Amino acid sequence: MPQRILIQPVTRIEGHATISIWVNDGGEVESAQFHVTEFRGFEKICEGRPLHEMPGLMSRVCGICPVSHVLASSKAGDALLGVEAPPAAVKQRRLANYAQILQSHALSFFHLSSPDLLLGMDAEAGKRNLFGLIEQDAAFARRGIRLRQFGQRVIELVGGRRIHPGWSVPGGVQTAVTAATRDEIAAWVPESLASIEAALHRMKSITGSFREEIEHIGNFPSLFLGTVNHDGALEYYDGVIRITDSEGNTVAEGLDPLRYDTYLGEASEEWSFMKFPFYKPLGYPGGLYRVGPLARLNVATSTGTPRADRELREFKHRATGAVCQSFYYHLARLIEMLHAVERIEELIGDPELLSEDVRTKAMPNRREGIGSCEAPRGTLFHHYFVDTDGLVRKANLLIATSQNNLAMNQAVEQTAKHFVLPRQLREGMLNRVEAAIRCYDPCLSCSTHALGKMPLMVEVRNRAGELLDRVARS
Amino acid sequence: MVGAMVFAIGNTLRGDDGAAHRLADLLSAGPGVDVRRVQQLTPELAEAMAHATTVVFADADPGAETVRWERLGATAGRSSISHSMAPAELLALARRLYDFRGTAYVCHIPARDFTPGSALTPVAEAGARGGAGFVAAYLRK
Repeated sequence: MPQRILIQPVTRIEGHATISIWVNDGGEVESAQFHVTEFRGFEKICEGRPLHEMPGLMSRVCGICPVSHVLASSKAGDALLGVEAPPAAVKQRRLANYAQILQSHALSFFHLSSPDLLLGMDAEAGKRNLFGLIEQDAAFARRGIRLRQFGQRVIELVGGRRIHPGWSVPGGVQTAVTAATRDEIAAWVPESLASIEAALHRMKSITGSFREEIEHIGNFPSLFLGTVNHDGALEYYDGVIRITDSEGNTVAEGLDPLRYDTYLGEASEEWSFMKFPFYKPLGYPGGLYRVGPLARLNVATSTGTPRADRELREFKHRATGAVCQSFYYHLARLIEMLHAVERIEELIGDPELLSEDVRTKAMPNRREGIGSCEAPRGTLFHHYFVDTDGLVRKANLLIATSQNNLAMNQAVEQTAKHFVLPRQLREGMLNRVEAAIRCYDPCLSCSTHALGKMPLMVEVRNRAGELLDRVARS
Repeated sequence: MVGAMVFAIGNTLRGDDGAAHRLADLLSAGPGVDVRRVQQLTPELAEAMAHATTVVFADADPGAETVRWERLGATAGRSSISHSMAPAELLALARRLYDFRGTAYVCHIPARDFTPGSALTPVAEAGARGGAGFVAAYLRK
């Protein structure tokens, strides 16, 4: 009879999840699973709502990456209206998205994962948090807080609020950027660049202490998927999908994000509320692919900005093909933060950003619209169907975190098999299993929306706890 | 230099959870009082409160029967679970990272219904009014 080691809750991630580690009769780890135990249901909530409400409604999906949902939703709205957003609106959207990449990655790296990286995987559990980090290196913690603050402030200045901004709408955005906003953002840039470069230096200096974790925490071959521009460079707002394999070979090039459902499928398992997307040509579960910072840097040939390009060249030397070690998500995150600040600096130097022509107005002209962008955790798709009155009849959200679901499960199993000794169990072993998940920085609130597709079991018990009835749907 | 800060915590679309925002609307704070409406407390707010002499965290409390005023002690630790923070954790962060030397209080506002919607129950509305009066009077001292 297999024994189960349960990690509940998984800490320092966004949302609610547990990990089961199954131990066989010989006392060895046999398998492990990452269970997502919360449900949000936004695909259902938005049915019947006017399409112009969708970006504001979708911003409520997440408190960490609301901008991504607003942008994917706005782009789907652009498509439903059959219009292009004015150039200044597109620049505002890009600016807010870079700010969100910055603040979300700062949260992941400094607040959630740095306690493991700086204090060690075996440090006292009660110290492995932001306060423990402060005891170790207050200046480092302060830099992380300031970086997140910068990203949040840009979102507030451009989008009107730090959390759940709803300024971007179908056809563009609602307000113009002022010169005062531009100048305030510019003042933050030098400090932010310096802080990220200091963190990169620190991160690279400690990787030697994590050789075993680098090799055995989620190090496996897979496909990588991300958006690139037509030169093959890193792209977050517009572009085409590129898929590469673990050898660095291009598997698919120039895929249209608007046709995502022709090459990406979604499976479900009875033990998780989160879907399991896969690359259709390789089937399920063989079509496992990864998205997010590591995937984006693996698929992109350059970043298009000088400081990040230098880092990318060094990053790519860590492997002969693709960088497959999940541990390097952390390093990739820092490189993306550097790139984001460089892009923010570029955008605020563009006079067109201040144009007051920010919105194209139209009635719905199409019944189906898709919007995609790169969110902090990977590629995001919003797909809406509306009726003749512009009311949403059906929505499908393909969320970045769910696209890493297969990979996260493989990572926890590999990590558990290598590090967990069930008969000599220590907390640090289980922390490494959690750390495998933290590499992917999952945002579970974002990613559980498919009502009717998740497994469900309802048990009716009396006061004594006796089971009276059970209804199950798998 | 800011004399006092008031953080009104909550979500105005979750019924009584918006009670602190209502308190902020009703608060006739004088000059030198920085009132901020937030959905949740996040670490970067620690820097903002660093130079205040008094900080008030106003929050909806389903366990409160009447408006309750509590002096806050700093507590570290829970943020290993989540990205958002409790008032005591933010206070601890401000003290450790930014040398905050002021005093902090929580104004607990009675709250009963957190279902989606922007209306407050009569209990929360009365609590917000009473809390606004109490906070204003305290800050005027």
